[in-house]
Amino acid sequence: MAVKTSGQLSLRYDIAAEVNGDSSNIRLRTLSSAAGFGTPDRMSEFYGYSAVPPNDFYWQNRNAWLGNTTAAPISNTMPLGATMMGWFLPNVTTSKNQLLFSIGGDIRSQRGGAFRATYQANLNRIQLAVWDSTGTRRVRREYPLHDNPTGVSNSRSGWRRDQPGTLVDPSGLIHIAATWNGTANANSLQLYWNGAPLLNSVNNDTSAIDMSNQVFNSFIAFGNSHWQGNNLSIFDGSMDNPFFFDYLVAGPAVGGYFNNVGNAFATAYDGWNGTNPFYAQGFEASGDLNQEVINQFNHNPVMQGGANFQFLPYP
Amino acid sequence: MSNYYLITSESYSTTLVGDYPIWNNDESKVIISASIDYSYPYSQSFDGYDDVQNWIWDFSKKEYLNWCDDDDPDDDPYGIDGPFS
Repeated sequence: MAVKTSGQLSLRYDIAAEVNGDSSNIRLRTLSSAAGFGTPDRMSEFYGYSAVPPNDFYWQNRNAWLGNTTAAPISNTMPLGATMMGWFLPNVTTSKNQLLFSIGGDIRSQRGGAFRATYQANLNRIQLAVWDSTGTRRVRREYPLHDNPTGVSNSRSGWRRDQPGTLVDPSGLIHIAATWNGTANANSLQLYWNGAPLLNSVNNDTSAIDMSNQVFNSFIAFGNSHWQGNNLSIFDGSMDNPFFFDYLVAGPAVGGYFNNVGNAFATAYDGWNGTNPFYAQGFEASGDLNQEVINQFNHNPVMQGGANFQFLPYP
Repeated sequence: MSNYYLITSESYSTTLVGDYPIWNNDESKVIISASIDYSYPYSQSFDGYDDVQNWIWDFSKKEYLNWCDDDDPDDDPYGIDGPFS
């Protein structure tokens, strides 16, 4: 709960309780530093302060996408797999293909060494796929939304505004996570819907090659594939809080992000099995990409594509 | 600076110039992104991606009319290439 906005403040019971919960060795400079305040230190700086980063805005999109334009300067393969997660709500009246996110590629215009999640409208499935460094698809798993507990039960209508699926989070968006453990077996891929793994999949493709050094972290994309440029399958709807990890985030931790973090920026969560994402982005202050960002490898993504998008406050 | 051009599929398959193709449903026409000095025949050009979107998007129905994109030639919508498990 945020610090009160007026009146007398207690260093321990008001400020420390919000910043770090410490009950001894409490120093104003330490707390100010932890909260991001410079010197000179003043207790009044904490009026209204909240340690939980705000999540007041979301990205309403039709034809733009978030991605880096040049390879991240700290670029590596991902032998421990990869995980992508974010919040989505379709805004189309007729279902269409919807690109969710991708990671990979040492060359931006090619899909070599990539991991992607995309909604296939004609089959009402979300497909997870991994391509090797030459661009040959080596692993694939497809999840029919109507055969899983997503709430998108009518496969002919598909995933669209009047059938968005089961909405649990107060924000009204759906948490979708795609994980890959770095191997070439179809079971290396897993899709999560609102924190729970989906169990029914089809078109499961497995190969025998060693994928441990095939997929890169060079490019990331949210609402698109990093190699596809402007296209008709850019995500049309509401989005928020993408997280990208260069390792497999195990099921309980995915559930933790959904249940414990919710639709919020990733700063504090450090689940039982991992560290933080290498890239996370909030869209606060009307889409200021610098306000809430984890940018460990300097991807420095920017808004690309069309101009038909806006950052709106949650109702 | 890129621009967008409406061309025939035949022209596209011959020249192989341009990125991010968007096809019409009978695949007779394609919209590509290419440089402003694109020198092959085209029937219409667009100043930017928003103009392409406005041209192919039905605002009343919120859907694309008769246009699609599929980047994946290995796409297997009916699952005939298995294996299955």
